[in-house]
Amino acid sequence: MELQPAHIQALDLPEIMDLIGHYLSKGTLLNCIQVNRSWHDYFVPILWKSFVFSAYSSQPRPPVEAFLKYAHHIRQLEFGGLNSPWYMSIGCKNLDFLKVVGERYVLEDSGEDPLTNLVQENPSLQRLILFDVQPHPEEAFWDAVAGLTEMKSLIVNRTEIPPHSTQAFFRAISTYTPTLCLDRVYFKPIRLGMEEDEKEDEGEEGAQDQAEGVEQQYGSSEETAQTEGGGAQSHEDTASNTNNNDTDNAYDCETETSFFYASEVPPEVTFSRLKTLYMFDLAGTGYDKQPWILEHAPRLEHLSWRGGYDFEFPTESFTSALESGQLSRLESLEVRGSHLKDSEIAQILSRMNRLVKLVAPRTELGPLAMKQLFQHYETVRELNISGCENVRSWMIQMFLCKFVALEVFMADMLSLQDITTDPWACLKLRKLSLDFELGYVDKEEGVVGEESDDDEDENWANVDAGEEGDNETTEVDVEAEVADVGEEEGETTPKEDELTRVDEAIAYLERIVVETAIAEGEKANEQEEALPGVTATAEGVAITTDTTGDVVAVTQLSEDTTAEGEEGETEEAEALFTPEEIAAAMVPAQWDQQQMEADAAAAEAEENPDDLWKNLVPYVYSEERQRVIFERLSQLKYLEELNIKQQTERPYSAAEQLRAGVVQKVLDLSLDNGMGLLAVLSRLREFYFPGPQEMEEREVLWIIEHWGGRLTHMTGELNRRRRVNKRLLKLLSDHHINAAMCMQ
Amino acid sequence: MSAHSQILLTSSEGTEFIIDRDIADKSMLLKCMLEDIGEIGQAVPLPNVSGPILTKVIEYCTHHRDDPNFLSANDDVAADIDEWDLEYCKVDQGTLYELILAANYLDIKPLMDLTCKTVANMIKAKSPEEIRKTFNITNDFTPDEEDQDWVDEH
Repeated sequence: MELQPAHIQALDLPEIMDLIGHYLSKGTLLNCIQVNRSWHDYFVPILWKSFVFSAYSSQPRPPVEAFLKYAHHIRQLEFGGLNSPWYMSIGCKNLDFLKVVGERYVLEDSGEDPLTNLVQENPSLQRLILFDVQPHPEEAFWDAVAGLTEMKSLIVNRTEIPPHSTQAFFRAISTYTPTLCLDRVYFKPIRLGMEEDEKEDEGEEGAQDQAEGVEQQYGSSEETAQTEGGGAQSHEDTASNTNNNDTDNAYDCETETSFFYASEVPPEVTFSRLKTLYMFDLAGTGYDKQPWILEHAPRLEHLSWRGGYDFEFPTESFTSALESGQLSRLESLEVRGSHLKDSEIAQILSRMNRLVKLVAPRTELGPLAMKQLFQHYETVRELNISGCENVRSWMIQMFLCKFVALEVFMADMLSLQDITTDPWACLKLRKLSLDFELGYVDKEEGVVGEESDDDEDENWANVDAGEEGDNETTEVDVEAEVADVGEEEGETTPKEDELTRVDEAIAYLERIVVETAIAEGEKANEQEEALPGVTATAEGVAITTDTTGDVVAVTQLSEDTTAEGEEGETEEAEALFTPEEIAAAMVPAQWDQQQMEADAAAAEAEENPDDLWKNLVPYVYSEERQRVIFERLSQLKYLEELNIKQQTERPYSAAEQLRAGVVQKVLDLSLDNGMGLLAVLSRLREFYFPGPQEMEEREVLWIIEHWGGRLTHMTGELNRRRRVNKRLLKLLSDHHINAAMCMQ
Repeated sequence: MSAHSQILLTSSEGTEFIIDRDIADKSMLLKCMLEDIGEIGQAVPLPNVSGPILTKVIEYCTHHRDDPNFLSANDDVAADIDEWDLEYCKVDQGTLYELILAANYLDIKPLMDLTCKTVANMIKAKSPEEIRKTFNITNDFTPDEEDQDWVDEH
């Protein structure tokens, strides 16, 4: 074959060869450098681009001569464990990435720190990771880091900052880097009332003793709260949030009058370049450094925070920074391990100019925060509200229908009954984690109750009307729904007296809702002109009324909100949604009301366990109904990860169902049921599904045919029969799909 | 400018191509050029790109028109190539190299990543001699250089 000009040019361009080399393993690169001189010159730098010195690896290392010859090619260097300090001195001067994990040697004779020297010799370092580095870096090291003008990312994990290094540390983390991660960084406190020598000796003692002394002192003397500097804030919080690793009680009775304070943040420190901040578990004296950082990071765009035991999000200082405009560029917020209240999240979101990402799992996020979230429906790309018990199924439906830019969405459960005819707008979704609730069946008998054709038609009148192009919403007959059950063999018919009890419970709830709405609505009307509003009631529900005063949505308030109502505080009567949205939400609002009624009925029926069944949303066996879910999912053609496995045991449709010996009906993944519609999900890489399923070979072959190109992981029970399941797993494995069976 | 406005491109042979603005914006070169000078109604000359190659490039950009992950699609080194992209790259070596050059010139990073990854796949698991045969490369090492223990050194 003759050499073509394009061939010569393409493989002559360094940037192209560099990109090609990026995709090659070390072994292949070793072969490439033996092809000819040009390829040797192109690929040697790529071969030596990164190196890992691991004390735990048995792999042979190149000879010393090779290191000395090629060290200048090394751009990315990593040390793990106790390696000879010589390796830090081999002559790397062009590093852009350095990672140090665990123990290291310090040259005791000369007192030199090879790590500090390495940083000083590599001024072009861009990314630095320190993970539990022992011994902890000293002041000179942090001074060296502060001089790295090209820094793009600094990660400090499990590091202790002694008092004399605090200023240098803050200069290091604030001067240049736009991305900063502080994970379990501990600032050793100073004990006042000591001589200088004693302070130095104190610095050599174990951190545990120090911190325990801090807790004792802060707990016993409020005067400590008056000390100056960054350590003066939130001393009571600091006392209660002291590093939980401390177990020894080293309180020294002889120093009863002395007290501790945390080293201050130097007043000249500002995080003027910081754009991305990760703050994880900054307990103890690190906790009170947070306000300073948040208030001096004007360019901050992304904040990721993770709490620990008895360590809460600094809501007050964070909200204050937002209010004063100091965090005007913030658009991405992750808060994990926090019990943020709905009102707190709402307050935070209301002050953010723009929101692209919100990750707030297992918080009390609810209607108030949802209202603020909807202000950003055009920009939010990632939303994680999993484990948020105040998030109702109909809210999830509204997120899917409204948030056009959504690419990642993680929530708990969407009830089939809440999937209205409104189309989903989130067509760019790449990752979806959501369980679909179809209803419940009796474990023993398979189905609860029976269904009549008339009841089914009435029950699904809304959905059918929408599908036929009828935009009018119709009132759902709650009574019919309660009596409406799936039709299968072996069903039992509800007794008339039990139905009567349900009706009575529903009527009771309705009375309460209406009476309270009238009373509070009058109060709200005095404050605002006849606008749809939300009013907290003493019954613990929030009621949204339309312009005519009719109840359109009833939402269960959290205990906190209810408590506030009981204390006499008045909720702000602002519109949750536009009148059009309220009208569109009429159907889901009815379901939510049904949820309230079911909860109340379940509470009443708790005294009579035999009656629990009537609280269930029955499983309406219908291929058409399940097809709705497949149709919706088939619109998400960019999906790469789909998780429809059951996330939570808490059902949306009724309370306490799982105690009644019933199980949630899972989505039936079969080609007869509409799964074929998912053939368009050609980018799917990971699929997690509920079970047990009743898949057979044809379903698995279909998966291989349509998803086999990219699918790498599948988890779920393909078939309840072990032998069949095993055979199907092997079939997938033969086609390089890593499938795992997860028993439900 | 609306997303549906159209751009006129001219290949090295003078062949004209009319494409939608949002497709043209997949090329950072064209995007910046059009942002700077605006749509003046005249053709944008591409002297380094032949007609057949420009056709292929437009085909790629059109297919990924609505792809929200267009710019980050190939960041994952270990990820397999998409089925459509795999078929797209089933061309002769000459065309593949011309696509690399065109993607480089037009600054279409995902296409650069795809084509270079395709070349990398052609290199993988091959010995030095097999690589030479695949790419028709002459071995220009001296005998002494060939005797070097590469494995030990590296």
